[in-house]
Amino acid sequence: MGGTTYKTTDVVDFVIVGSGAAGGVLAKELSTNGFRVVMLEQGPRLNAGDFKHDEYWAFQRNSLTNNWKDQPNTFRKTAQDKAEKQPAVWYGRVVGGGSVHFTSNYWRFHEIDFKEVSMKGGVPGTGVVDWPISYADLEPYYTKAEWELGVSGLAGSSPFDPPRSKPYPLPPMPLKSSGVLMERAAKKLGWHAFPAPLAIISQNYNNRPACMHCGFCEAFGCEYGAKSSTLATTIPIAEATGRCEIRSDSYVSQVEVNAQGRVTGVVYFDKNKKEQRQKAKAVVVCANGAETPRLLLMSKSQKFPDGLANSNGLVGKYLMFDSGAMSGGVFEHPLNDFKSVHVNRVIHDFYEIDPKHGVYGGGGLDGRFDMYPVGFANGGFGADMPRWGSEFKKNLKWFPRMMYVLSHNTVFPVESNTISLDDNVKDAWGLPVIRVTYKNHPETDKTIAFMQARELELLDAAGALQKWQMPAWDSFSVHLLGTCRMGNDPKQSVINADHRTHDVPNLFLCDGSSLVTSGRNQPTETIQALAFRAGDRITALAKRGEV
Amino acid sequence: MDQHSRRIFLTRLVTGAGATLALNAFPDYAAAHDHVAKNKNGEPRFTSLSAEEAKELEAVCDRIIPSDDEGPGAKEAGAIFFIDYVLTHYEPESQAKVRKALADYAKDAAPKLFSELTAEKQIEILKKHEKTEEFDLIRSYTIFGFVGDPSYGGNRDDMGWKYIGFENPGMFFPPFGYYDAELLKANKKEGE
Repeated sequence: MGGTTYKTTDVVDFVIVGSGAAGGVLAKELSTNGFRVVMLEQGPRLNAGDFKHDEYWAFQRNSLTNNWKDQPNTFRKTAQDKAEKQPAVWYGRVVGGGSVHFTSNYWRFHEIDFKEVSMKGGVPGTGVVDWPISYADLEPYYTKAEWELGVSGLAGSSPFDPPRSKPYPLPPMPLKSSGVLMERAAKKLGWHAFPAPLAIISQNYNNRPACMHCGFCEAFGCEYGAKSSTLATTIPIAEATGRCEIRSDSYVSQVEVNAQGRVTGVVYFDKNKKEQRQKAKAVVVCANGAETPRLLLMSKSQKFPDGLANSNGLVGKYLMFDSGAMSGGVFEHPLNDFKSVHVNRVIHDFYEIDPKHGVYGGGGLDGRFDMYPVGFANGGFGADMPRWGSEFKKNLKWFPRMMYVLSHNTVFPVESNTISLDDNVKDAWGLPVIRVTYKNHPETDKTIAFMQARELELLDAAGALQKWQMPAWDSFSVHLLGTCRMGNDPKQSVINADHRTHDVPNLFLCDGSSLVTSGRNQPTETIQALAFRAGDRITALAKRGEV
Repeated sequence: MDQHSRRIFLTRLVTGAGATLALNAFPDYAAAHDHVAKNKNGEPRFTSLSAEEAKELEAVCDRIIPSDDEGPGAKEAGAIFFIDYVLTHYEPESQAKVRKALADYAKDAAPKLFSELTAEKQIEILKKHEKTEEFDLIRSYTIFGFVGDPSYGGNRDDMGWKYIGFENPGMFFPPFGYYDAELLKANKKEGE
């Protein structure tokens, strides 16, 4: 583990705020390119041996994620409502960030996701716009992410896949019962089920051992290091350069600027809640789609009275939630879906829903293990099914015979959906908390409803004895997208295609906040491809002396 | 299962076959759980709940995940010890909510104790309160104490996991379930 340490008075080349899917990649890219890097992470450093199979540890104690006791959120549907204190965002808060606990679905965006408006005309009342880059621009970096991190899958197995320059580095994970049922159902319906691309290694790869099928992927860390988190992949490489220090338990409260309007470093709280500063020639914020805009909004100064990089007022706007909808079904025989990886087969037939259905967006379906024993008992049933008592207890025996189908859908960006500061509520460090203002656009709801009907159709065709819809959620999100979006027009976006903020030349942002559209809401591969690309762009700028 | 046979069933589970001890005959409730029931630190008593509170709360847990002829319930799994443990170590702020719930149920049960009522009467009372935040909390605790990680004192001997059909050995090998095993077998036959 990294022995490199810098003094806080050292002026390093880059401070990276956040060590997750994007920060972990950028730390490796920038340090291997010769730069001196300090990466600050709010959360602790846990290693593979620290990870547990314990729902209370993961969900109640929030051992890998933000904890609302210390860092409350407030939520309101619209700016006219009063924001109430309630959990609204959930993100990885350990070294490796969300890449440690994500389910590991690893979907590329398709061409349509970058060019919604020019290809399909956009949707009135939403803020959907084209990206300043295309799928073709990002393709080499999708490939790079898959090969550097380790992704299992079968190229060409989905007729809807965008073109790719290289197959996956690893074969797909072994077939599960859920995969068999998904394939059977898809065949009946004329759909196409294909092996799920997963950032989990099916064979030994880059000195990491293959998945042992323990069954604790989603919301947990992998004790074998087989999940291709940045903790298991890029962060050790960054540390091995001798140029990168990972500083955990470091909670950044401000990005500092000088009179020229350039950033000079960051202020942060260390483990003992003592304020520290780290000087840097440039800052890259990769703190996720909620914490990145929050940090910019907290970084007020005389020069930037409305927050950093916010001259157009767009920081925090166009928030896109994950728009999950899920259905469950119980089958005749045990699937034992709690064994091995959580997703085995994916269906992309509705990635672009036929306009004849009157629905603009699209989605993907996956058959999945989504709920561990407590989660299943607590929330695995339909709204009108028994929640306690003897009938409830009897239904708990369905556990091994369950399959859930989750749809991941288009969420349209809307300007009034935002991350902002709630000055009325302070966190345990005395900082204003995240206030979420969010309401799905009606087109988003239509897409979800359409996809949820497909979930039931699929469960039926798979032979479910009984099936039910779970209530959709719209006041809580794990994917946090779009809040500092990328664009060529400084009036319409926060960063340019190099991830440089329009307002501050030596401030870069790269994470879910950079996304212009939600794709079909499986964002991690795109965030990581952007991070690899940003590594190249920022390196080129720095080497030319343009940072 | 009627009250009498249920009592026998429980007694057998708790004390071993053949014993006929009446569960409620002990003055110290935790001591009555003696054989199953030290808390996580090996102490034979509760640390947040009083013995009386534990007895009332466990009666609630027993309605949420009852002990019946389907198999053991929250009681045998030691859910009450999970609850006492987390109320002490992780969620002391929730003690007040649990006490409020118990007070509400006690009021409806008076002049008897909630734990003294018939199952039917207990269900009637809980139905009245099932939409409250406090009931949700106790329900969630009961579930954690039944099928959560055993390290907090509940889910004794993986009792809840065995009941629902979950295993947690840390690794598995294919085939994983009925349908993939069936397909593998069919493919193999075809190959022969």
